[in-house]
Amino acid sequence: MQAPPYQPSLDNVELLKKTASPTALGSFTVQAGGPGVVAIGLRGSSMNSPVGADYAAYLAGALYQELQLAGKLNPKSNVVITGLLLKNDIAAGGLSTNSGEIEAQFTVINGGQERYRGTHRAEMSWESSLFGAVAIPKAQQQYPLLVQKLLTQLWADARFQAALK
Amino acid sequence: MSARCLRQSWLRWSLWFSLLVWLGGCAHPLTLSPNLAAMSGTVETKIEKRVGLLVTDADRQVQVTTPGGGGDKVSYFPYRDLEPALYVALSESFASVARVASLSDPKVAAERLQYLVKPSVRTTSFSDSVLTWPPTLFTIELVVSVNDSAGGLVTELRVTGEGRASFDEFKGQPGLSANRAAEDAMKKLIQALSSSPALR
Repeated sequence: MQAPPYQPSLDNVELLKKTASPTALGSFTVQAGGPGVVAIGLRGSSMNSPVGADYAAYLAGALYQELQLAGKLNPKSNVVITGLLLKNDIAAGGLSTNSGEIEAQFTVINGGQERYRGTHRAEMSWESSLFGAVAIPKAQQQYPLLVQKLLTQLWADARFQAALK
Repeated sequence: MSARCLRQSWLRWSLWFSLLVWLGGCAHPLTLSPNLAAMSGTVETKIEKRVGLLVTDADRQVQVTTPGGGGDKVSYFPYRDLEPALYVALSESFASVARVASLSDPKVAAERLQYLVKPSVRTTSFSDSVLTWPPTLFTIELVVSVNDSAGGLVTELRVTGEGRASFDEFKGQPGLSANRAAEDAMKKLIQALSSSPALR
């Protein structure tokens, strides 16, 4: 089973248009042994990233899409964002409510110097069902929204915004 | 049969019946999530206009339920799901895009938007399977009205995207036919926008 392709948050894109400078993306990796960073368990099924070998690639792809759509992606920029995915988990076993969490550390290198290092965490919960045929697709659909929420926090972080300038 | 047996039997049947009713009324959730990367770089020359994409909060709340397989149904939010793809399609076609909440949004004047694009979405779904619920065929009809900043109609474009998926493909991605239909519709929309003389 695969997570749905990431769909950019237009609120994030419109914020980036106002606050970000042209930026490049560096390496995105996973913390070894971090929960769900390679595959997320959903009631006995395993949900993998539709891009790359793990969810760091999904996270990098999400940043790429939002920066690109905002016109703020420049692979030649001296400002480079890198990421380390620490946690990435969905608890889909609940009979009426399920939840998910994602946590990642982001770094900004500007002109060769580290200007920002910070960890962001997003969590969500949603109504679910006893039946896997409803609960599993619903959990699957929540994953891109969880990533969107993480990026909303990152793009809105004043220290992060300052580091990009 | 003793009264106790009758009561137990009735209870068992009641529980089964409740379960069937509950299942019958329950729609499987889907999202329409096209591969946006497949939509980029399809137009050589963008139209040199600034446009606003108008999707209202009421549009985003619209939930649609259509048939799946095995007598089941699928349910999704077409405007909410397709809004990012529409934004990407407009970004591919026009010099700049902004979101607006209404025709009288102050952003129209502040960002000197020249066109306002309002989409209307209709969907159908179908499955030839009696055993699995994800649709094997999904269609999305997009009718896009383009108005100038004074409210006058510039043009109206209509495209239909179609997506198919077989069991082997969708068993890990139940919304695959819908995703394919969305991607097809958006590519056709980009094409229709770029070849519309009224927009140049």
